[in-house]
Amino acid sequence: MNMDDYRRVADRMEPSEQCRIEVLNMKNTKITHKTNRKLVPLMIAAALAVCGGGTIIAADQLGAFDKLSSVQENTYKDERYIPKWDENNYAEIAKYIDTLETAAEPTESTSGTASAEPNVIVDTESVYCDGRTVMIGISGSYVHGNRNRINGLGFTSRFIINGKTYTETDAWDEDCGFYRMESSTVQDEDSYDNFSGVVTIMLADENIITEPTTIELELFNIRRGRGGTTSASYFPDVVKLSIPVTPQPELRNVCNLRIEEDGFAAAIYEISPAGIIVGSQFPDSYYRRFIDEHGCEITQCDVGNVWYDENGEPLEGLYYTSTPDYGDGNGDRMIIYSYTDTSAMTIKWFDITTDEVLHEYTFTLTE
Amino acid sequence: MTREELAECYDRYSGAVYRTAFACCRNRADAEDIMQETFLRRLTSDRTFPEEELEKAWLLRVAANLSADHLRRMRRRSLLPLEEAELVCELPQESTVFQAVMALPPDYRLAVHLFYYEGYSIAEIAGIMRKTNAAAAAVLSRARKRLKRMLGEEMEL
Repeated sequence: MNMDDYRRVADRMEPSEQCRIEVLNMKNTKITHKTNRKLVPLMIAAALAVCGGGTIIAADQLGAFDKLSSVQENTYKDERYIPKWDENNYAEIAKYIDTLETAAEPTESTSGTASAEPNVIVDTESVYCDGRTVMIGISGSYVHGNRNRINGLGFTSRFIINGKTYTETDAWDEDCGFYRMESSTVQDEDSYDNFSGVVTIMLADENIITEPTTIELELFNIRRGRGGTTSASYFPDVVKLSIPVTPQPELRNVCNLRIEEDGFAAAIYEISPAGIIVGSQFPDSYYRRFIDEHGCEITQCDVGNVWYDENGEPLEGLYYTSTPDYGDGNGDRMIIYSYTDTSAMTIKWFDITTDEVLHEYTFTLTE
Repeated sequence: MTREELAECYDRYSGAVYRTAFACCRNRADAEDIMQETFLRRLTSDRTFPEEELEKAWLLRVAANLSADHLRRMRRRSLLPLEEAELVCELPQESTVFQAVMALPPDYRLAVHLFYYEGYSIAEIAGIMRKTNAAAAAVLSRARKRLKRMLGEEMEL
């Protein structure tokens, strides 16, 4: 019994054909809602639905690490707190990519093949490894590709590093052993059979790589299209890659700057080309706990926070991971992707319903 | 948006929008109403999306917001029970797991649907649900624990 059971049922749920007719007949005026819609037989689809966390991005043909710019451009954000990434801000994107490319090293070309038909061949191009973060640039192709328009190739990733296994679908689990794992692929514009992309893992403190090692990377649930939709097609096999890495710990600036004022706590743990790791907490009094209509205990809060650089520009905070057992009072960690050479970082806590600034603090960053 | 563009948009995303609305509302009629309203918003919106995934995320976000509004209105009345007749379960465990997800609080089941079915990351779920990343992660974590409690250790998550 697992979540595939949920996916299979959801796969079979389709809106009625009458809906399509009504939608396509809509004018730019509000429609009348129908409350007693007749039930129609549900369409049953037999496609397997397998979920994964890989991000699929269609873009022009780019080098593997250039895909990160697409990640930057396409990551969905909450516009209330963080201004939308300017998709045309190529200078900013280029700065980030340049930083990573400078740090990345070509790797021995290793290749993995999913042998079942249709098969997929994946090659590694280059690797960024600062010990905490490993970013693997890949390129590949699939044989017998569907030449119809597709949304790219998706997959779920699993890393095996120094005997420990890390799986992408466990990303939100507090005990997963990593802060971030994701993958992005782009379809080559001139060849539907080729793709390239980047697979990333950012490890938790206790799992940082300190010695040269060989990373095993498995790509599974390989699919065209995204999500558990019936239109997605799945490749049946797993691509396995062995990638030798030598960590470059000098790329990580471990800061461990922490403050606590009036119950608001913040920390800057680490800055590297792969991102900034920060943490923050706010007083318990801002949490609201109540029992909902189902008798379930719900905890909500209306506090958000934003980090700013020395010029008052918000830093892009795109990822969150929870580390409640860190033991330093700063349980919530957030990873900011954007590379920054700012000399100061300010955190502001907001009431997200009123935008009132509840507290703020500025860290001065020195060499 | 032209009629042809709307048709293309509908054919591409109606299933995802409908399933997301169903995860929130738990009944077919409301999910279809919300889906229609979502596409009406799309029809009247001037937004352009450089990537298809962004358009899909926008639609799911609208559907989630409309569903939340709907549930707030429904709170004043009695909530409709999940209609088993609307589901097609071929195996007993499919019904068990689906019913368990549908028994979660609205935020929980939406987050579970977006994570396990649509394959969105926590940051993307946070964007769609208009929550902070921290709140979205917490919702997923609690939903998982609750599913474990409801279905026992044999439930693999």
